[in-house]
Amino acid sequence: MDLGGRNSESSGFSDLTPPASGLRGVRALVLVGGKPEIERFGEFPLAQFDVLGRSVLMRTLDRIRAAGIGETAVLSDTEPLPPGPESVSCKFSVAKPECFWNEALRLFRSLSRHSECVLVFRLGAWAEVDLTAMLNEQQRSGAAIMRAHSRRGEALDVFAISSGSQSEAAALLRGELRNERVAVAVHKSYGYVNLLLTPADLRILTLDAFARDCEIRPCGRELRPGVWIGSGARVHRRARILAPSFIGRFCKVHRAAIVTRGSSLEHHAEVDCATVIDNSSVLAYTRVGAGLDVECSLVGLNQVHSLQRNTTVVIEDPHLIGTTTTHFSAPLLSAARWCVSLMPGMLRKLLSEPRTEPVARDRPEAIVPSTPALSDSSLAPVESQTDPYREMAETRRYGNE
Amino acid sequence: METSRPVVVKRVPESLNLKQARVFLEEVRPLLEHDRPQLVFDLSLVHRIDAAGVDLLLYCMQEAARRDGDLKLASLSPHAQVVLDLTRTGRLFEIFASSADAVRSFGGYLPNMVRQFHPDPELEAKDGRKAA
Repeated sequence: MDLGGRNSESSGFSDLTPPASGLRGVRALVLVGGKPEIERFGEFPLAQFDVLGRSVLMRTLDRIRAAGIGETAVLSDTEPLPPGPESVSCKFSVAKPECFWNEALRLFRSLSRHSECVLVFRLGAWAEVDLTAMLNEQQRSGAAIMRAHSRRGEALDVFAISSGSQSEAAALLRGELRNERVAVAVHKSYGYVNLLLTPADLRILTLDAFARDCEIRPCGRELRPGVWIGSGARVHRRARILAPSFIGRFCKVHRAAIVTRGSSLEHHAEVDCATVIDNSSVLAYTRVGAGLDVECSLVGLNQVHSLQRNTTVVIEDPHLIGTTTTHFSAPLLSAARWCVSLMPGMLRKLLSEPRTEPVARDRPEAIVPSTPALSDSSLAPVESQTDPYREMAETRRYGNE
Repeated sequence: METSRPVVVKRVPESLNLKQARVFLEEVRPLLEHDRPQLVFDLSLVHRIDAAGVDLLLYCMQEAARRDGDLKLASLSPHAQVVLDLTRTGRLFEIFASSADAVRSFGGYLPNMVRQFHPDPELEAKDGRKAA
């Protein structure tokens, strides 16, 4: 599978580093996952989820490409989220968790064959490391392996490994990037770092992006100051979108819904009538039911992670949290379902006795003389006096219709 | 002032979907039909609750209120808390950390909110003695 293509919209970066010719001999290996216990939401690595229109994985690939690094390979321990990253310029492979690090080593060896240095990222964290500066420092120091550290001293899973030091690289990758047995030089990075350990960190990254504390920018058109809308999104005119908010591509916001306080709806999300999305992120393909109050939460994959209560719960009721579909047959299916719902009524009508128009009787009122001279009872039609259901027939004819 | 009516604590089952809610309602219905029922639902075991479950809680509260009684919730599991928050129904109930607290809350004649504005001198004196 290929990765890395850009949408027609902006990729979401404020200032991209121009491609550096000095990094042509450098290749990159991006590892997604590798730690099954943490950095996940619903079994998927947090790096695969969209943040304001583009996933951390895709944004990392954008940074790598912007730094002028040519070939990149991506290895993940889970299948990509639907519809999956689409692109043309890098290989995407999936390995089972038990053979993830061996597969990473194999990929590293194949990448290092024709390059001077291989950058190894593990996502994990969103780290805005200046890759050019890091590689320059490694070149100057002559270190076999260099690891980026944040300004607070946290070790980041960003490594520059020289192609010549295969044994050290093997020890590092087999040890799941723990560098106890390998000499590793430190590169201090002063860029923004979010470790993305918990779903709450994904929410913090979204808020930091709204506050422009990091390089991430929303992918979409800024409709009003602080309100971004992706292409194909539909917002009901009675819905309220308050800044800062992000409505992703092909989202639907129904009548009387409110999206506010740094909330984001990722692509194909749907918010039903009168629901409030307050300080929350709704992940891609998620449908939030009508009349709900989603506050300080991360919603998606039929789960809700409440930041206030620091708990994740599975919601099995599609009336509350469900999924949307974008398959081309969805409109056809919904039309078919509508037709099927009409069928019983139609069949009932077809099978019932044909409706016969009541025989137009001579209306007694029409012939009953109103004049006192003609009010003689003998002149009144006999039928009008003897038919006890006259009134009932009239009532049924007009009332039922 | 102490009330002499009994307070019934009922443990809500693990799953409260449409089917389970119906079964649970049949169990609870006789309790709701008493005069001025005082009920506490213990939701500590609840791991799954859907819209039907929330509907059941609201129905029980409504029925209790119709007979001048009250329904209080206690020991909410994280799942129940999140679903009640999500459906905006949490604010309609009095929620307590434990069933014992909920039962104790029925003991006072005045509800907590009213007690704030019309303090009971006898109770305050008692609290003062305890503090001393």
